[in-house]
Amino acid sequence: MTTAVAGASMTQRRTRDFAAIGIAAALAVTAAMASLVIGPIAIPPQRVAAILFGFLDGTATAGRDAVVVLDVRLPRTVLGVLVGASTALAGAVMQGLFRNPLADPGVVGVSSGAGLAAALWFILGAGLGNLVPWNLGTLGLPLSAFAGGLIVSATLHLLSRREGQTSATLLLLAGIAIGAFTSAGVGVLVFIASEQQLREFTFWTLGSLGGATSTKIALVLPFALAFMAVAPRLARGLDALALGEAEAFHLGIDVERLKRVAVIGVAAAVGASVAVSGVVGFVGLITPHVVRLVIGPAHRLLLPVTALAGATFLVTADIVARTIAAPSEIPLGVITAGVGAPFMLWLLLRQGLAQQLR
Amino acid sequence: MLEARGISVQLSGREVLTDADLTIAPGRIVVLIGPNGAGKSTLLRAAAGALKPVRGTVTIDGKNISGWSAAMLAARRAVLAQSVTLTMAYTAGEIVRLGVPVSMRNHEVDTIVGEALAAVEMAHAAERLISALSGGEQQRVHAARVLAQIAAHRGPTQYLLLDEPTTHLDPAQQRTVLQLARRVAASGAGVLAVLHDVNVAAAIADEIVVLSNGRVVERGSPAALTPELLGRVYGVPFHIAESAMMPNLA
Amino acid sequence: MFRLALALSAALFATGAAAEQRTIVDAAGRSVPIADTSRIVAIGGAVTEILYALRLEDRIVAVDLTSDFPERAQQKASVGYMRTLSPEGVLSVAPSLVLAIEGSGPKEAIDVLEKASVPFVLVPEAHDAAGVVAKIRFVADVVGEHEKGKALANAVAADLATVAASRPPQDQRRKAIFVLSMAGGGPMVAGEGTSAADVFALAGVQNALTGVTGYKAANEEASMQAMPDAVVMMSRGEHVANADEVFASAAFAGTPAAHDKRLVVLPGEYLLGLGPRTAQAARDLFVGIYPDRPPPAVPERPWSTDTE
Repeated sequence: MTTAVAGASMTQRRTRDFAAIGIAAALAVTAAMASLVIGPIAIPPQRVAAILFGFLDGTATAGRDAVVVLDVRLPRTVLGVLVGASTALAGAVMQGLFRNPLADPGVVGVSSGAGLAAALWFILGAGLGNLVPWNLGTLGLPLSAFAGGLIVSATLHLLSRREGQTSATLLLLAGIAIGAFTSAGVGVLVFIASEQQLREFTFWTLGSLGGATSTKIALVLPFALAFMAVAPRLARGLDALALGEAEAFHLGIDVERLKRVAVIGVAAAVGASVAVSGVVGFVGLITPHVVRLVIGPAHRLLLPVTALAGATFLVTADIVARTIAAPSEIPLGVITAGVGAPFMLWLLLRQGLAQQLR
Repeated sequence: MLEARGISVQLSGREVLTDADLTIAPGRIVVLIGPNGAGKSTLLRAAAGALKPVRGTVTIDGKNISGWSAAMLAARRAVLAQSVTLTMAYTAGEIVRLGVPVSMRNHEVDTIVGEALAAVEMAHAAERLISALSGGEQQRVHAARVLAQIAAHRGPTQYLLLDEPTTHLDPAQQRTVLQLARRVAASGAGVLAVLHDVNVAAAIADEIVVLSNGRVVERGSPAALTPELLGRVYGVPFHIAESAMMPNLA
Repeated sequence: MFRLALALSAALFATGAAAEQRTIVDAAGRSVPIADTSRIVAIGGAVTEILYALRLEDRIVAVDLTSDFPERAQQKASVGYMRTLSPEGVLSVAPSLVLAIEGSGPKEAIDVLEKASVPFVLVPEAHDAAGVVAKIRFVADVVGEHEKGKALANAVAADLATVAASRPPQDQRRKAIFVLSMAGGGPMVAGEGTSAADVFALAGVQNALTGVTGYKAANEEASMQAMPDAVVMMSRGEHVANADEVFASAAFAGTPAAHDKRLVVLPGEYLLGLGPRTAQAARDLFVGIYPDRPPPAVPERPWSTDTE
C-alpha cells in the first residue's frame, strides 16, 4: 500500500469528522429551537419568532406570550445549553484524564463541595440573604455553591500531589474521603434545618433550570465559555495520556500542567453550573461515553461533539421536565437519571454481549 | 551530540545510578547492557530528560536540558519504550498521529503519518483499531509513531531512545525494530538502545556501554566484550559459541 | 399581625368578583392590584379549603400538592410543590389570580408571573386562633367575598372559642409529642414554632418536646425523656400507624403514652393545615388526649365534611 492511499483514507476521515460536528451542531440547534417553541402553553412558532426578533431589534412585544418566551423559555434554553455543554465537556475531560470511561466531573469533588456550600447557605446563610436587597440575596446561593466547589477541588488537587506530581489514585481516594466528609457536613446541617429548608435543599440537589434568569446566565457564562475555549487545547494531551503518563511526557506533553488546567477548568465550569442549576446528575458521565461509542475516543473530535451533545441532552430533558407533568414540573435530575441510567445499562449490556459473541 | 556527564540518580532515597557518562553522536548506535537493576533504564530516562539526576548534567549540542519543557525535549528526541495496552478504541493512524505536534498543517501530517506507517509496512492498517492488531503489529505502529515524531521535527539532529524495545517480540518483530534503529541512525539521528540480549547488542551497536550495580564498568566497541567481562557483570560463565543463530539484521 | 391589619383594612374597601381595580397588601408587604378573580390558582391546603368553604370551587382552575381536601380538589390540575412552581405551568392554566400560602416560590417564578400581569398574592400563615380567622377573612377579601368571608370566619371563630373554653388549666395539661415520621434513624418530632406546636396550644395540650425548634430527628432517649402522655401522628392516605408498632419502638416504650396506649392519628392537612377545619381537628385531638374529659362541643360544619 502506498503512502498516498494512507493519506487518502485520512482525508476521508477528516470529512467524516466534519460531518459528525455538523450533525451534532444541527441537533443542538434543533433542540434549542424546540425548547423555545414547546411548552405547556401553545404558542405558534411564527409568534415565537416574532417575539424573538422583536426582542433583538428593540421593538418589544408585550403580553403573556412574550413573557413566556423571553422570561421563561429563552433563559432556560440558554442556561440549558451552557450547563449541558460544560458539564458534558467536563465529563469528557475527566474521563480522558483518568483514562476511565466511567469517570464523572464529580470525581474532583466539585459536586460535593458545591452541595455542602449550598446546604450551608440554605440552612445558615438564608437568614443573611434576607437582610440584603433581593438581587444579592438570591445570588448568595449560586455564589456559595460555586465557591464551595472550587475550594473542595483545590483541596483535592493539593492533597493528591506527591513530589510535584499529581497521582490519579490519590486524587480518587482523597475524593472519596472528602465526599464522605462533605456528606457528614451536610448531614449535620440537615439535622439542624427546618423542614422548609430541608425541602428546598432537597429540590436543589435534584437539579432544575427553573428560575433561570439573565443574572444566573451571566454568572455561568464566563466560566462555561472559558472552559470551552481552553478544552480543545487539551485534546492532544488527553489522547497522549492514553499511552500512559511517561509516554505522554516523551511525546512532548507537560503532564502536570495538563492535569492542573483540566482540574481547574472542570472545577470552575461545573462549579458555576451546579451553582445555578443544582446538581444535574448523569450528563457528565453518560454524554461523553455515548459519544465515544459512536465517533471514537480521539479528543480533537470527541470534545466538541460531546459539548454539543450535552447541550442537546440537557435542553431536551428540560423540555420533558417542564411539559409532561404540566402545570407542575419534574426536577431535571430525575429526567436525566431516569433516562440516562437505563440507556447506559443497555449500552453496557450491548457491549458486553458483543464482546462475548466475538 | 547528546551527552550525559556524571549522572547520579536517587530513587526512594537510594542511589541507583552513580557517576555515569554517555555520549550519543549523530548517526551512531550506542547500546546499554547489564543485568536487571543495573540502572540501564534509569540512565536512559535521565538522558531523555524524564527524570532529574541528583548530580550531573545532560546536554544536547552543548545546551543543558534540565530546564527544557516537555515540548522542547520532544522536538529533539523520541522515546520508544515497552508498549502499553490501550483500553480506548484508537486507530493505528491516530496513534501514529500522536507523534506529530498540533501546530502542523493537515496535509503535512497526513504525509508524515502515511510515510511512517509505510516504513513499518502497516499502511493498510491506518483505519484499524490498534486493539484489534496483533502484538507485533501494535509494536510496529508504536515504532511508526516514533518515526513520525522524528520526521516531524526536521532540522537539528534527532535522537532516538529505545528502552528494551524487543522484549516479548518474536524474531521477525525484533528484526523490524532493530532495522528501524539502523535506518534511523543511517539517516543521521543518534540512537541509544537498552537491550538485554548481548548478541543482538553486539550485532547492531557502534558502541557498547556496560552497566553493573549503577556504575559504568566498561565502554567500547562490541569487540571489547569478552567472556571474562560479561561473566563478572552477569555473574554467570560466558563463552564464545562458534555457531550462533540469530535473525539477519541486514 | 400589623401586616394582617393593613391587609384587612385595604381589603375592606373591596367588593365582589367583578372587574373592579383594588389593591391588596400581601404577606410579603407587596401591593398587588386585583381585578378579575374568576380563575384562581390556589396554593396551600388551607387556602384551597377556604375557597371551597366559601363555595367558590368553580373559580379554582388549579391547586398545589398539599390541597387534598375536599377529595374532589385533587381532580383539579396540579401545579406541583409550592416552593418550586413552574411559571409557564401556572400561566398555562390562564389564571387571573394566584393565591399562595406564605413561603411559596421560588422568587423568580413570582417575578415572571408579575411580569405577565398575573396577580400573585401571598396569604399570611396562621399561628393561633386569631391567625386562622384572619387567614379566612384575608382570602375572602382578596376574592371579593367579604360578607361570605365574615360569616365563615365568625363560625370558625366561635368553634375555636368553644375549644379554648374546654382547655384544661395549665397544671392539669397532658404532654404529647408529635411525630412526623418513624422512618430513618429516629423519629422526626415537632418542637416549638411548628404548626403542630400551634395546634397543640389550641387544644390545650402541652408539647412534650421543649427547648427544640422546628422538626428534628430526636434520638430515642430524648423522646423517652420527654415523657409524653400521648403520641400524635399523621395518617398518610390509607396508611395509618399502628399503636402496637409505635409503642414497641425504643423511643416510646416505657413512656406514660405507652402505658395508656394513647396514640392519636389524624390526617396531616386536617391537623396541621391551620385552615377552616382547625377547630374540628383541635377537638379530635382533645378527645384523643383527654378521653376522660367532656369533649368541646364543636359541631361538624359543611366545610369540615367531605360531601358530594
